[in-house]
Amino acid sequence: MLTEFYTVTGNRPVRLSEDTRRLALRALDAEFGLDIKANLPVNMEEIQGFKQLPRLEQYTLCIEQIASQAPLRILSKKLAGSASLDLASFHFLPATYHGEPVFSSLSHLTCGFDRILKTGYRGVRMQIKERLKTATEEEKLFLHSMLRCLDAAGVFHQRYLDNIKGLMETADEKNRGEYEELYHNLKNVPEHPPKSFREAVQSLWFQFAFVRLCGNWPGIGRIDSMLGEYLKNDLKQGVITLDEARETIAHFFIMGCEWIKGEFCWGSGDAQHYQNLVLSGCDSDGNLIYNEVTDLVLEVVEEMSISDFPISVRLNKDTPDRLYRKIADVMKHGCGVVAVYHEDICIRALEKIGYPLCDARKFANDGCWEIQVPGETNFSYHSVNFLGLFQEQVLGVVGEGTSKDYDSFEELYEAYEMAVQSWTANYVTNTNLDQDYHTPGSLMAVFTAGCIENARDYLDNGPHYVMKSIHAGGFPDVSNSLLAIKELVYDKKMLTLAELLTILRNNWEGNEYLRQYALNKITYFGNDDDKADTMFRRVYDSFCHAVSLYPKKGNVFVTPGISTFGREIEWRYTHGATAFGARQGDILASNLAPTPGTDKAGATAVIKSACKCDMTKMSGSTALHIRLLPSSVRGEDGTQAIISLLRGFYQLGGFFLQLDVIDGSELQKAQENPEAYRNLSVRVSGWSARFITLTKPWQDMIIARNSQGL
Amino acid sequence: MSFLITEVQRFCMHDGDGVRTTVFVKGCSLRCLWCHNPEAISANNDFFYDEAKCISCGWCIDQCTANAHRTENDIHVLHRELCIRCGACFHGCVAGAITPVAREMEPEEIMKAVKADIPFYGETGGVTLSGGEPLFDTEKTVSFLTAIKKEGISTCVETCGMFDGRIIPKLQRCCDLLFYDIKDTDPVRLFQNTGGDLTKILANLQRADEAGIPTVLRLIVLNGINNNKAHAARIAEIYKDLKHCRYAELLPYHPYGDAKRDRLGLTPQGKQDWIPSKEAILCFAEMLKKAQVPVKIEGSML
Repeated sequence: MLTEFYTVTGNRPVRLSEDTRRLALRALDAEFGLDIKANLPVNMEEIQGFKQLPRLEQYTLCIEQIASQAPLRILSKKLAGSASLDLASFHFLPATYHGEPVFSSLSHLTCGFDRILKTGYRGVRMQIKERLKTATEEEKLFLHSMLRCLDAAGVFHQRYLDNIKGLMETADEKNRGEYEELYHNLKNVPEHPPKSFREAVQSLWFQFAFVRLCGNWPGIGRIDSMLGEYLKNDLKQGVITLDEARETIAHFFIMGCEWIKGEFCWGSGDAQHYQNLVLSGCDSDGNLIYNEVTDLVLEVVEEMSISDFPISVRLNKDTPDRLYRKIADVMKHGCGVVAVYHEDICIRALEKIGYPLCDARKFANDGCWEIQVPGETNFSYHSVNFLGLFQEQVLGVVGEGTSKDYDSFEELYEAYEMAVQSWTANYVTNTNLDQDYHTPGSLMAVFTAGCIENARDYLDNGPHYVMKSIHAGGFPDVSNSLLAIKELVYDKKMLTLAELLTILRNNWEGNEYLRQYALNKITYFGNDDDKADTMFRRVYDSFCHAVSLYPKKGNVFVTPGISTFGREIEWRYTHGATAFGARQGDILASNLAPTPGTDKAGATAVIKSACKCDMTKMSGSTALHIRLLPSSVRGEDGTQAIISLLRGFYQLGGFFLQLDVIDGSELQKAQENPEAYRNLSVRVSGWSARFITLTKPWQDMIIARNSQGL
Repeated sequence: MSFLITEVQRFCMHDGDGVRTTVFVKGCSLRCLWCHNPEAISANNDFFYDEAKCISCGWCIDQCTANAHRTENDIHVLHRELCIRCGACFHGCVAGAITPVAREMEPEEIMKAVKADIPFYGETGGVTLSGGEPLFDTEKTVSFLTAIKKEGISTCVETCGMFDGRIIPKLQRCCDLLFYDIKDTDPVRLFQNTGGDLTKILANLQRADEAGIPTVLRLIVLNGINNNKAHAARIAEIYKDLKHCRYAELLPYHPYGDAKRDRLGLTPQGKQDWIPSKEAILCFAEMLKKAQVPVKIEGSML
């Protein structure tokens, strides 16, 4: 039984009520997630002739069944709505036919909850009905599917109202009051625009819950932008206090934990469902968004160790000291909950590829940190290991081919550049730049601008923006390999390229002296060394250039991104031995962070190295993460240290920065004694996970990451 | 004009205000038993030897002029007692088993390193000189600090107080903050444990204060040595007489210096008994606080 919120250092503040804290601990303790394990998906065999129906009709019927049959549960008396079908937490529509899920679901997007909040479902209905007037027969089919999804949402909504009414009638005096308030807040939303903060939060939650119930995993987006005005008004009118508002937001967070099962799940940890929040930053007009909701969200995560809503704060030149401090205060406790964007760089990156400024300014993100305009984008990505590409095609040290030879370093580099361009060309030609329409998504289309106007589905090129991102990993490894080869072979002439490649093919066997030389006598990327960083920048620019050869086509953008997302674990078995001294089987670079073990000059040096690249080229996004030792963020000095890192990151023009505070030895203790560390979360890639729910290879990878600090 | 520097450490948050780059100068005027930078005590260069990293490649054996590095039973062995510190093996060990304790750095090189983190210094951060005793060579240090100030970077110096006090007027012009160690206030005990002259240390502190240099008293706390009422009372007296002392910071003893002593071929000197408990530290802090001394522990003001 969890009795307290884990913290790596210091004491978490206590601002919330005892009841709320207890509820949070129950959620973190997996009580609610385990409860739904028994909830079976809806069975579509009940529908006569289901299998013969067109796909779109099948999909719509599934949504209707889910809405009318999903079990109801009221976990929090402040927010109604639960995604209570277990299969949804596995990325499927929780509807089966002969035991098999009928449809996969959608993720890697942030829904347009902000629009629905403003117009209510009613407003969306009106838009669809208007569009029907000029629709073709096929378009009508799709638009009607959307209307039925909205009706299904209404059915689900009414079931909750009836349920709460029933609870009101049988409740004692105290509980009746709470159920009355719950009923009152739920009654008119999301169908209509909310009139109060509490209604707004309920509307947002209910929309989110229904979409999740149907198996989709959207991010929530710019929550302070969405809810800030409502709270301001209510505070001014004395209808609510800050403490009460904090309780409501806390319940939102607690409800977001209703899928925690405390178990292994695909290696990447339980409850990683892309429930992303983005705070602050500017609005479409360039004005700073920073309000009571911003503060309250940060205060809630400062108090409770809930890492299930990854939070990213958009930093700009107007970000006040107070917000920097609040971010630092949360980060100090560990669990990797809060990360930061350099908003100006992100906006510029989108503008450069053709986004209008007012849209670029709206950006939120998807499952990890990839920026996109929320509520208007279909985002997908393709992962590729550029170290593997380099080793196989440029050097020929892995795979079937023979080792290559190059008379000069420039020849070798050119070969690499050609390989990257060739790969990119191949991807662009062979990928279906028109939609990969593998599942209907009328429900999600309700939340995505463009789908109604175009009368086309989410995956059928309906949304305003379609972004296909090439996510290449292994950059620091490629750069370090090139650096080592240049020094060993071409500059110091310690051996020929042929000799080196033979040594690599043999996994460095019998050449420990040279391997140690490569490991220790060359300074690599991540140490603020100009020679190493210039090589990195060159590799970075080559990639960005290769992708820039394919500008947007209509509303479809191909963008460069740098990431590994944990694939560095599977890639360890295929990359072979590297020129910088790594062996087959070593886990190498994560995302943009330096190759493990090569960063020896501290956190500031890592940031400086990365920021020598022009991050406005990275429209597909990338992430730098740094781990700090708890001892280095103690006390007020520690807060100042984190703030300095954030401000330095901003000044130097980074893209996205994740800081996690953890001591590797603590993680080793957690491996040995998991029960004592159930609530310890770590930043994995673009998300946090409870460490003990990761599989051992993932745990080992995280332990191997270098912690900076003293 | 070069300095012998053991380390240029970036992102230090406990060596002055804000985020700082700390430059550790080799050579100290004291010999504290509990020193956690023992490699910085001697003014002469030396090397660390980490046996676990050795791959017995034989390179250092080829270099060694004193037969201290040898092959015995096919593996490398170091006979430290024969070493004459000629430096032939300092820089070439590929496995990192032998690493030089320090290297010569020209002021320009140190300056370049120190300017690297300007984006992170903000309003309060900057450079700290530590070691060893950075005021061992007063003129050289002042000259360097002056150059740093010219770049608009704030300066802090960590000193044990055993330096030529005549430098103080010049120091005032280039040192924004003096981190002043007061290891003990019992003169006999101080001399026994560190070789320090309490009169000189306190006289320098007085002069620095009169010259207007802001100070922070850095107080190592060792259980069973100075962790007592008399020392706290004496510190409070010293603080009361200072016009520009900002606060006292308590530094609980830790035994990490011994791992370094081991790699220097020196016998351990630390004692587990010296480690003060959390309660003991708080108790000492309370004594100071009661006597109106502002106290900092664990990175925060009490």
